[in-house]
Amino acid sequence: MNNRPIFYKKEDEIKSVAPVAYADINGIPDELKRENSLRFPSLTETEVSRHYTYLSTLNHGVDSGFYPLGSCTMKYNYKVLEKIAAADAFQHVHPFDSIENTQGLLEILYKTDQYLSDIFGYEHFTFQPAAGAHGEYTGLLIIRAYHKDLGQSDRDVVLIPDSAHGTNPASAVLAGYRVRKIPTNEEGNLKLDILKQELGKYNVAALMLTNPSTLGLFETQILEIADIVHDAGGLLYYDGANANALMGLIRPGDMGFDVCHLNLHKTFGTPHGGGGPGSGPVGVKKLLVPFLPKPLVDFVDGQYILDDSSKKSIGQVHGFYGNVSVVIKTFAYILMHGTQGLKMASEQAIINANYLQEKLRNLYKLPFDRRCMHEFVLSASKVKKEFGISVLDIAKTLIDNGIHPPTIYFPQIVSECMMIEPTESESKETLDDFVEIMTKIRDEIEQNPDLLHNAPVSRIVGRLDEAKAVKEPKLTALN
Amino acid sequence: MQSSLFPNSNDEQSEIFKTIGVKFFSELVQDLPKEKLNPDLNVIDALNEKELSQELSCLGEKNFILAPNRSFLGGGIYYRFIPSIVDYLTSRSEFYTAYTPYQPEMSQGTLVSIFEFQTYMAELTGMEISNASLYDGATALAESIIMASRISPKKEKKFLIVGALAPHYRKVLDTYNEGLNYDIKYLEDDDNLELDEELSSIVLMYPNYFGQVLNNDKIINQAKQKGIGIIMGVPNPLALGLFKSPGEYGADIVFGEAVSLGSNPSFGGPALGFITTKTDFVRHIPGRIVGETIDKNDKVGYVLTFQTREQHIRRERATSNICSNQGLMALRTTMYLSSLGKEGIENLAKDIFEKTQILKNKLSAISDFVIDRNLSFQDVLISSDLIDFNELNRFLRERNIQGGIVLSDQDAYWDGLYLLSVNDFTKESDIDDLVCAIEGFINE
Repeated sequence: MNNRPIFYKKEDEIKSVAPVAYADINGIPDELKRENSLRFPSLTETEVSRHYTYLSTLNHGVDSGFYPLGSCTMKYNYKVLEKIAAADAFQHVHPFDSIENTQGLLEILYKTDQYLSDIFGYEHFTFQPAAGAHGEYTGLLIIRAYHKDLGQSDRDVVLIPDSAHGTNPASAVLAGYRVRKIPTNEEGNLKLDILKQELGKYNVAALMLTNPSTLGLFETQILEIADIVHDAGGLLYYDGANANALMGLIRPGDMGFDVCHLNLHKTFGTPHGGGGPGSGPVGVKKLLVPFLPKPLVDFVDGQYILDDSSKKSIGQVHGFYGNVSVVIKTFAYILMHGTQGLKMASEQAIINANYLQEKLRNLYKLPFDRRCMHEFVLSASKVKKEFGISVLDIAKTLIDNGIHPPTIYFPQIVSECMMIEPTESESKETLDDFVEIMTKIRDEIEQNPDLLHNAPVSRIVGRLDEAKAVKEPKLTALN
Repeated sequence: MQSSLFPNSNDEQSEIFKTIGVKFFSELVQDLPKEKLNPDLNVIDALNEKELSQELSCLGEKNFILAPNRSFLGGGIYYRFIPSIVDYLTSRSEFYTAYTPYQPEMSQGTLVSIFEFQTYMAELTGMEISNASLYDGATALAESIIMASRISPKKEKKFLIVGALAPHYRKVLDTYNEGLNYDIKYLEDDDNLELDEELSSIVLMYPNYFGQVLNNDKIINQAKQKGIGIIMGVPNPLALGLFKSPGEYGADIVFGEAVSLGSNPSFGGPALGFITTKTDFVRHIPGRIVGETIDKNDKVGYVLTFQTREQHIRRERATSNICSNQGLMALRTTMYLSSLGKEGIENLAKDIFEKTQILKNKLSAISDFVIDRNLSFQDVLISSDLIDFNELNRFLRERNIQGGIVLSDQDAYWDGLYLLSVNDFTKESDIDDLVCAIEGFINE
């Protein structure tokens, strides 16, 4: 077996593929018929099963082992959620079916909105955004529509910290804004004087903030920041990628954030699917409800309905109602935990992160010596300087130890950084194993650096030549 | 602390606290403003797995769904028979509990299958390259237009969308255009259409929202002569098993919706948007792309590539803000197409085409119906001045039949129009029952 695409395994067959079938089919004029035969392999079910089962073994999922990928919240995904969402009663619902026939799903959307609104401090959530970045974009369009409604369309700048996720500036530009960067100070907080300066200089529509930040640190000036931004007529946007630190502890709505997106595929235990489907619902304070995407699910006279009436709505951002299957899993996750369980999840995530931070702080540099929230950042800049070992080398060595590496080289403001997020799913035993491996690797940096330079050696491939992939692009098996 | 949801025992938890150097959890969150800490939340009682399953199954029962063969809903989302192996293999947790493949050595399973997805989509649409997926067909339309605006050398950002476009595609595009501010116009099909030379691109839906497969040669030739880009939208890619592909037409960008290649309608989401294009435009394509390369021992492997287009590197100058896409849906489509193969796709496309013709023939017996004379695939456009289609749908539903889409409810210009669709499960006897019930409704 090998990591070869199925097209290569069937190369000869594909080369001599039969002409398009049904060239003689009645009712289709010749000029509308497909000419080039589909070069698809013909496989037995056994071949399909072997091929993809083998490919799956080349992957590493949360079920395979520890996955402390910072800002991605790789918590365990409960199997019952998968089973529930896979039921025909949900999967076979056609989006053009009537509201009378889809009451069960509408009830789930309605109640999940209520739950999330309560937990995070908002009036309503929309579930249309299909992922976090889509949620950011939706939230910014809401902010845009709000300012326009107030006759302030000239607010054309969005402020974003230098530690923010790359999606923040990209979403802001897509929403028609210019971006200004706000630097971080030595404590890992926002530089307030620069924030004030920028607010004075530009017509600011909003400040986008992740709190805790991507450094895993809680922004201690948040209430003051909210006042400053609001006083300048701007709104506060909450990037919910790190919301796993907050459930039951503090609400973004109470911190002064007017708009918030969540990543259900992070905080609410729905799987990442190797890159989606996620879900990025957006919650807003009361003053912004009219601008939410439509339709909104409402409950009127004993029936769940789709309310399409808001004239100020930004419109639709998804063909239908978003990634509904993910919302079903979220709804079930909330019921499974209850309010207390959700709070315990956030607490345990914070406890586990602080434990690892404490255990690892002497191995690598801790750039901000504070209590962390659900994740923390370490820097390998010192070992890079002294021993020529980069954080990439460390990451690849972790792979040889059966652990998915943390997020590396992000946030960009910390050199040679690794962002570690253990989540509440992990036991002390797993965390201790990780510490042991990290300690061993730290020793090998000095004693056996080649081991790190050459890693990984245990997987189907070693380090791949990414430059070649761009210089000599090979993007499909057939072209 | 001890709870079935969290692994540590009380003893282990105490040890952790001791290591951190705190006695209580509250000491860890001293950075949080005290006055906002521990808000009063509405109490939700936790359910165990059995209770949870029962609760959700009760909610499922509140959706009244018919067997797919009794449903004539389509319009871009179709009931397809999915081979059992697709569900079994995508349920392998190595696939579905993994993150985006940032660490390629540990993600070759995901990367190889996305590479296969790109190959399948490029081949089906007749194009050279494909991305790794987008959210859905509607957002893929918006992304295609953004992409085309970057490719086009023309100063004006002018676009023309020709023919029947799904209203939900149009709504999403209109929303995206709030931030883009392009000049986007919509036009009915017209054989004698004269294209404005200033246009950046035209968009042609194929098949269109009415299920019509129209010959686009004439308009494409005109566009090419005037240096106007060609975007083709494919909301039902199965049709390309029979019909001339966008690549054969000479399209520059193809976008579409592939949810009906291996996945269920699931209330419209998760869906599966995609974009395919020419190799020349690789640096303008939105979303992730997987490419082939080698490791230092010359062993072939797969990586996310052309990442300098993307938001995590280029930030405000990225080609799109997209990060997470619809990875698992792309995996489903890959496995579905691997299961069907060339013959399977061709046979299914032929089967659907023939059923569509049967539906048209049988509906033409209904005197109050005017049936579309264009070539139709899967969806059939019907017009009638006399029939209240909402009433008809209620009448059908009482007879255990789910009627079609009432187009007049979706767009004021579509007065008296109705869309009925066949699917993989439709039997000739279901069509007979439908026609019989419609006649019963008219006679009542």
